[in-house]
Amino acid sequence: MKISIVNVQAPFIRGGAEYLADSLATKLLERGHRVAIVKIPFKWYPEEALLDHMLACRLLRIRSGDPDLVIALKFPAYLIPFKNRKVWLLHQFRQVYELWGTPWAGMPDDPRTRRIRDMIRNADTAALGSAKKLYTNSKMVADRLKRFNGIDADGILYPPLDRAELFHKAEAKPYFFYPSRLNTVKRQHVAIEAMRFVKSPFQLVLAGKADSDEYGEQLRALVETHGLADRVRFLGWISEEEKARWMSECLAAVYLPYDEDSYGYVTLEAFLSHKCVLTFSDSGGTNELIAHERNGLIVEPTPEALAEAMERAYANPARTLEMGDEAAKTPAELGIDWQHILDTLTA
Amino acid sequence: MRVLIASTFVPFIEGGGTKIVDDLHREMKARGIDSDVVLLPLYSAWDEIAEQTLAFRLLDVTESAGNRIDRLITIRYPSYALRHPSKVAWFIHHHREAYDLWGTKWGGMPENAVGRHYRNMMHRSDDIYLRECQRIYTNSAVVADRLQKFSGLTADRVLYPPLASGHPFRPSRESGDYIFYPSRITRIKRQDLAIRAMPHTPHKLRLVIAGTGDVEGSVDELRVLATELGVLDRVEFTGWISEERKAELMAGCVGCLYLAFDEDSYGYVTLEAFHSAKPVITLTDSGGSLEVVRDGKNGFVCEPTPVALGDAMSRLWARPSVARTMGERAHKTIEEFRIDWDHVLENLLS
Repeated sequence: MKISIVNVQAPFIRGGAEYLADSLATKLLERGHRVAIVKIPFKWYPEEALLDHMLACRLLRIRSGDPDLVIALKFPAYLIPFKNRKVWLLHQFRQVYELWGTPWAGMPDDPRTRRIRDMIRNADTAALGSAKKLYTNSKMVADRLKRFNGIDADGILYPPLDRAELFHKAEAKPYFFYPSRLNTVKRQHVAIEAMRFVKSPFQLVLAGKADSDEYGEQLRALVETHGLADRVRFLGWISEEEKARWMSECLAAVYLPYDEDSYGYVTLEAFLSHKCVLTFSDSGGTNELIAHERNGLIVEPTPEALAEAMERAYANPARTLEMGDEAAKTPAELGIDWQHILDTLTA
Repeated sequence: MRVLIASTFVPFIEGGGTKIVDDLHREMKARGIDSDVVLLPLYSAWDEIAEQTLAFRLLDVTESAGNRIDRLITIRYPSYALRHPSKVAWFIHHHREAYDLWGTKWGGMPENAVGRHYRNMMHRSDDIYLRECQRIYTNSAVVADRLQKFSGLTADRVLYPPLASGHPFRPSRESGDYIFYPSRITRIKRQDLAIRAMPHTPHKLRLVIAGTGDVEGSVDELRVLATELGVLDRVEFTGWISEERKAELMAGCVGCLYLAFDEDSYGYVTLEAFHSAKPVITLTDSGGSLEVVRDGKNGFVCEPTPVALGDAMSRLWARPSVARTMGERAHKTIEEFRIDWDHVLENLLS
């Protein structure tokens, strides 16, 4: 089959969706399909630019090259007309949905922006409702779709890891591992603050580069102020191989994003390494995969609650590792593998 | 300086005008220039180009996620419809059926009121959007002339597309017993004419044809032709070869053929031969290669007939020292026309 994957791009920036589009293309190629990735530039400000880009997508011809199937991933690329158009929805424009009226909407709530909001919602409803098949990347996104657009998704396709084979089980050592870009939304500062309340001799290991120098320095200052230098370790950016090794030897993983759309790769990396995950009740998508006391611990978003969860996990390692073994079964249960995704998208 | 390269392409088509984009992007990165590429799909049906042009017009590439983009370089039509205050075009061709191919058997647009209306729309939008460019470069003099003739625009300069850096072609003084023709095997490249010329060449001269066919059976057809003419024992088909192998075969040849019909630009084969210090034989109706190949200097330009072509091949074969001198001039042609990336980037970024 000739398959065009349609995505959006902000030039000079690469995000998770682009890596996923690349992975999808690679996997489809491995199956003998011919694949093209088409990226439409996207700029979301001023608000009127949203309408321009939506109209542009309606006018573009993805028929170029005569594909048999088009798989669209993000707003507004899924507006591009094509008969056999399937949508694997990674991203709507959240600002006009559940973020509307909050500081994260990025635009004021006035008659002008309300019209733009409604135009986006209407266009989404029409384009997503008319897709041959519509899948989301999380239950959260499916719920939003139902609530705001009145559309039932055909299913959830959780994005798998690109190199799942890297992750494996190994003997656990006394540390908790939190690999992720360092930023306020991922809340590494809360993880560090939790270490203030910890009595037992385990470590917190943070891997990842700081999105801003400011946040990186803030984290280091926090460690310094509370005298946690021997308890909290910063690895900085590490390779996938190194990450897999650190993950394989931890007692449990920590993942604390605020209100994420999807479950986050960290969760999956931990699961594949037979590790349970400590997360917060307001972390969003992660809670779709993590069942409290089964394959992880979901606690209130406070340093104290996290410290207590870590202490519990440390005090009873057998139980913690048992949850890890349980976690290793979760990806298969939810169909998080390329085989399932490719079968579904090319069916 | 943050530079965005924009062009259009047809997905699934190999070399659908994306090589020049990839090469340019790579050269910029190699020089530490912060650059990225926007490649938009284009469906070339004449009656659907207008709305796609409008789509490009609507896309905002003046900034990305709050970061300013300092320069937009547009390549294939109609990517120059994108808006940017510092836009430069490296123009490689119009939508030809609305221009030089209009009214010829090569064009597909109907010559009636509807066809004329669409043609006029294309002319109008090209006229407007190209005039927004701070500078316009073309990839050949043919294209520059066409731009002058149809759009009334004078190109600032011709920037001939160089080979990608790290290419394996090196000047060579050795010379074997064969003429080399590496190219996609397709009618417009006229490999059949090269074979038809063989009966008119000395018995010791061989022809090596490299490349694969666009359609299945095209090599077999050529083989049948060579058999009929009794020259099969002197014609070798290598099939697909690596760039390294191509460079080896180029280094050992007497001279190189490039027999395309009416092309806009000189074709990379010509340039590969020049880098290898080999003369190029091309035809009077080949188009772009005529800008750089001069008869009797760095190659031969001959009539598109088996006899004339056979004669040119024989002359190269008969006088190796002359062929070598022509090869040396061929190598100097690269410098003469400033076919190098430093020159290209200096212009596109100035």
